[in-house]
Parts: sequence; C-alpha cells; structure tokens
Amino acid sequence: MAATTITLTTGTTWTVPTDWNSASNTIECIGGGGGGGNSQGAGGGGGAYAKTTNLTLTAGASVIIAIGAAGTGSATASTSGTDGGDTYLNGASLAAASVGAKGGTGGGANNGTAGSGGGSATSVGTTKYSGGNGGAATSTNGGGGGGGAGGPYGAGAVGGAARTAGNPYTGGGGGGASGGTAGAQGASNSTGGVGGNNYLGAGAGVAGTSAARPGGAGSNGGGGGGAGGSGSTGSGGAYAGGAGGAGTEFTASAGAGGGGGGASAGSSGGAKGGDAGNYGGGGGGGSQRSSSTGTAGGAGAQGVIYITYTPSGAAASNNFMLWF
Amino acid sequence: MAITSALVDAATLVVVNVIVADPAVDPAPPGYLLVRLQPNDDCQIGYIYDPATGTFSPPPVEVT
Repeated sequence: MAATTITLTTGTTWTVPTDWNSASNTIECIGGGGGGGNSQGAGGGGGAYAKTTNLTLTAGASVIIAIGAAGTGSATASTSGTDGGDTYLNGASLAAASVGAKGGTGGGANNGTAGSGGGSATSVGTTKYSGGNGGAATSTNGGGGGGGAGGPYGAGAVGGAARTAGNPYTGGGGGGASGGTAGAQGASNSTGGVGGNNYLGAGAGVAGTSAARPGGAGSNGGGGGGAGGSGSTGSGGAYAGGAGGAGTEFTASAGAGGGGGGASAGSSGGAKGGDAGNYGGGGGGGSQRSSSTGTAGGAGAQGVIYITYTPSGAAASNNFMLWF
Repeated sequence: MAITSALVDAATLVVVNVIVADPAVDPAPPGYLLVRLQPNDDCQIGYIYDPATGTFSPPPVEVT
C-alpha cells in the first residue's frame, strides 16, 4: 500500500488518522522565515528544519500543532522585519513538542543586524538543520538578501550582502534552501548579487543588471536575485529584489523556500525587497537613499508540517498475504 | 493571505509565538489565548497583550 502524505499549513490541532502507524512514519517541520528590514534593510533569516521518525501517536487523538507565521517586512520607514514563528507538533510549545523547527528572525533596518536563521540547537527532532542568516545591508543604500530555509538536504544558505564598495547601490541575492548555496553580494554599481542555488545546484534567481534591473525570481528553493543599480551615481530609479523560489522536496509545490533578493537604491528613493519562497525562506531587505523614505523589506514565508506514514492496514494486509 | 494569530501565555500575557491559525475555527491550546492579528497590528514574539484594549506593546526595557 502506498504511503499517505499530509501537508499542514494552518491550525492549532491535528487529528491523528485512524490508520496511523507508529512504526512507519516521518514528520518534518520548517519554521517561519523572518521579514526583511526596511530602509537599507538587512535580510531576514530562514526558518530551521527538523524531522523525527516513527513517532508514537494514538490513532484518533487530537494533538497540538503550530505553524509558524511568516515574518513581515514592515512598510514603516526605519523599522525592522518581524520574526518568523516556530512550527511544531505534539506539544504546547517548541521545547515541549515531539518535533519542531525554530523560526528565523527579522532583518534590521537602517543598516541594522541581519536576521538570524532559525537555529538547529533550539529545534527538536532527530535530524535538524538551521536556516540561513540574512545578508547585511549597507549604510546608505541597498538591501541584503534573505536567508534560505533549512530543508531535508541540509541547512539554508546565507543571503548575500548589499554592495559595500564603490557606489553601493545594489542588493544581495537571496540564499538557497535545504543545502543550497549562498546568495552573492551585490557585484558592482549596476549589477546585483545572483541568488543562491538549491540543493540540486540550480534555481538561482538572476541578478539585476543595467539591461534588466529588478532581480530575477528563484525557483525550486533557489534564492531570488539581488536588484541591479542604476549606474555609477545611482541617479536613476530603485528596483525590487527577486522573489525566492518555492521548495519542491515534499511535493511539486512544497518544500524549503529560498530567500528573497535585496533591493537596489536610486536617486528617487528605495524599492521593496524580494519576498521569500514557501516554505520558511527569509525576506530580502528594502533599500533607501540617504535622504529618502525607506521602502519595505520583503515578507518571509510561513512554516509547514509534512507528514508521511504507511497506513497500519497495509502491514496487517501484508502479514495476511504472507501466511498464504 | 493566511490568517495569523498571536499565541499568548494566558498567565503572563506574553506573546510566545505567531502562527497561522484562525481563532474563529481553531481552539487555543490549554493555558494560552489565541488572538487574531490584523495587517497593521504591531505584534512580535515577546510583546505584551492587553486584553482590555486588544493591543500589543513591546516588552519593557530593563534598566541596569
């Protein structure tokens, strides 16, 4: 009999199926990603990943769950992104749960502290990977990339920092998820940082350039590209970072998400950081020129619980067949 | 957009988690309050919930 899979994305309780098999199951959690900072914002941290196997649960019982919410990229100038929530199952808190993953923290505003990835040390499970840290911003301009979420294939990767040398107008790339690679720092005064790849070595969002300045979106858990700037003086417009890619490790549309790309700054002000990919990616940082009003960081992505089990009837059926 | 709620310790009124849940259909775990957040609510983990006003405030800063 084929395994049964369940994806939980909302709620506070989950009823254990009547055919639950405590001897053949896996439960995987990803914490919520932190939001990117506003105004020369740092990237948010990605959510952690945690897994346990063969958890003993009572069929038909109701157990407590929590799905970590996405951190927000504040629209208010000079405001940090908010933290992503914790995701867990079978307990009233993360520490008391049978399995659970820590959320990432929000990225700081005004060249503040980059968001921290949800830590494996504070997560619960037999296999645990941290989320990637957000990328740093610069003192006067671009935003850092968001960190990738931890996933089944490893830790989330760090987001790229905004460009710091020369004319620092460009944003960093978002980090890849689940054992992927780091986002790159803003490369020049016109080219942003490329996003990080996913665990398969693909999916990175392209960096914004003078030909196409917004950062490109990542795919399949790859990080979004950092936005390109408007030349050596930053005299043109500001551009948004690319969105992080949604992960695909669990299903065709569910897995560990990439971080959003950082925004670039222009003479007219700032632009929005890229939103993170589902699930658990960190948002990219927003940008700002020195005298302008800052612009929002990208939103983090919410957490998820993914359950796989072999129905208990399958084992009984197999035994029956063996007797004959 | 997903409905998000603050998970508040009923004894201390401290926000212990922010989760994807709807208090209209999802029960609060024993010992906790579940408070739906609006898009403009300023609420983070560690904030203090005021049931009288339905608002959240940052934790007090400790002076050493």
